[in-house]
This record gives sequence, structure tokens and C-alpha cells, in this order.
Amino acid sequence: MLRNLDKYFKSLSAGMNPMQITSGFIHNEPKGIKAFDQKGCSTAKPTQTRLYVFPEMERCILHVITVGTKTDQKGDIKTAEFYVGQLKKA
Amino acid sequence: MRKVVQQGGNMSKRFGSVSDMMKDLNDGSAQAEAIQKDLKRSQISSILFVMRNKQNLTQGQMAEKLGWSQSKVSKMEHQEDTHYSVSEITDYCSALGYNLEIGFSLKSETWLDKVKRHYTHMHRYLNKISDSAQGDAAIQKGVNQVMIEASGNLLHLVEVCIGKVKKPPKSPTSLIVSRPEVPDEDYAQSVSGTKVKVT
Repeated sequence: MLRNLDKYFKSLSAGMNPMQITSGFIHNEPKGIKAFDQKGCSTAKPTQTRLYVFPEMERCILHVITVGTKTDQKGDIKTAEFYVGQLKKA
Repeated sequence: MRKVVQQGGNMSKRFGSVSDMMKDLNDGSAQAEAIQKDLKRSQISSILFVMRNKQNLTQGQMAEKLGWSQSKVSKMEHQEDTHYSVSEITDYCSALGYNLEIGFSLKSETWLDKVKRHYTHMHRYLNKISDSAQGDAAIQKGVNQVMIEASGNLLHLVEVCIGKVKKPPKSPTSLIVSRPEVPDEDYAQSVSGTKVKVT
């Protein structure tokens, strides 16, 4: 999953738009939030985990918001949405 | 994108890379080292991933171009560096319009060595461009334009370098305070017109 985060960050650093970056491990969530899963992990059957990030293009910052398992998904998305909402207010 | 920010409660920290972020999260632990190694082992996959996305291609479209399955493209973008064959990378690059260049550098190479190496390369390439005209006026016109553009870029680089030179702080100089000079009697008279007695 961190490998996936690294790839995504490198792509953004290369000047790409978040919408341009496509891969099986990237899931689009509301408010521009992206969730990365563990696809590509070398472990045979890793626990389904998701890492929630928000690319803030204006300030060139990739916010790593939270991480959780598939069962915590709803709560994690709410947390991420709240975070992005606060960020946009500020 | 220049920074990755990691949130922890009300605290947030900024890092220049995911690797730096992991270093900070698990300071010195075996897990942190394992993650660092893992990121280092998958550098080729990151490059291939960035290259494909830069061309706005999905893995499916890339697979079509290569005549591969989509799962093979996905594997190429996730596997560790030691698992690649040169021909696979060459095919992948070629489909995206790139040549594969392999370079070697000493493990002991410093950033300064890298700058010097690139300077030498730039010098050589500019000479090659300059030589390419071979008396042809049309090509020479293009060469001139290239040289003007290169000069601009190099001047910008010089400007950046000079901007990064930090002046040492000024050392404090002692202020010498001396007794004021007492004007002589004649001078005082010539200025004021009256005789002033200087004691």
C-alpha cells in the first residue's frame, strides 16, 4: 500500500493531474479523496486495507488522512470527508 | 506535488517523499527499514507507472498496445526490480515512445559528482548540436535558436546557483567613540562672527 502511495506521489510530482492517474489500486471517493488498496502487494493474501489521501493541487500537497481495514471503510471515508471539508474552509 | 503531509490527530508533518515519511513514523525500527528497502526495490515499477499515466493511458489501453494481458501490465507496474527482464522493459518503453537507456554510477557518487557529470553531458550534447549544421544555412538557423534557448536556460541556472549562495553573517564591528575635536578659537570666530572662548 505504501508502494502504491509512493507511485501516486511520484506521478503527482511529475506534474500529473489526479484525474490522469489510473490504476487498479486507486478508488475515487467523494470530495476528491482517493483510497489506495493493497493491490500489487507481494504477500499472498494481505488484509484488505485502505489508505485515504487528498491531493491538494493548489498548494502542491498530498494529504495522508487515515488508514483502515475494509470493515472500517464507512467511518474512514467520513473522517476523510470531514478533514477535507475543514481544509477547504481554512 | 512537492510535499506529502501525514495527519496524526491535530498534528501534521510535512515530508518530501513517502520514504522520508516512513523514516519519521517508525524511527529506526526494523519495520521502517523493511519499508525503506521495499520502496528501494520497486523503483522501476514506479517509473513505468508514471510513464504510462503521463501518456493518459489506462492499463487496458497499454495492454492493447503491447499485445499483452491487462494483468501483465499491472504486474509490470507492481513487481520488484529484480524480477524484470530487459526485453520486457524495452517493449514497455517502446510502446510509450521511449528508448531504454541504462546508466551506471558509483555508489560513492555525491550530488556534486552528479552535477559535474551532467555538466559534461550537456557540454557534449551542445557540441553535437552545434556540429550538426555542417554548413547548411537552414540547420544553422535552428542550431542558433537552440543555442539561444540553451543560453537562457543556463543563465537561469546560474541565477539559481547565485541565489543559493548564502552570505556569511556580518561580523560585529566595534564602534569607536572618540572625544570630539575642539575647534580652535579663530575657526569659531570665522563661523559665527563672534569671538567664542573655547575652554
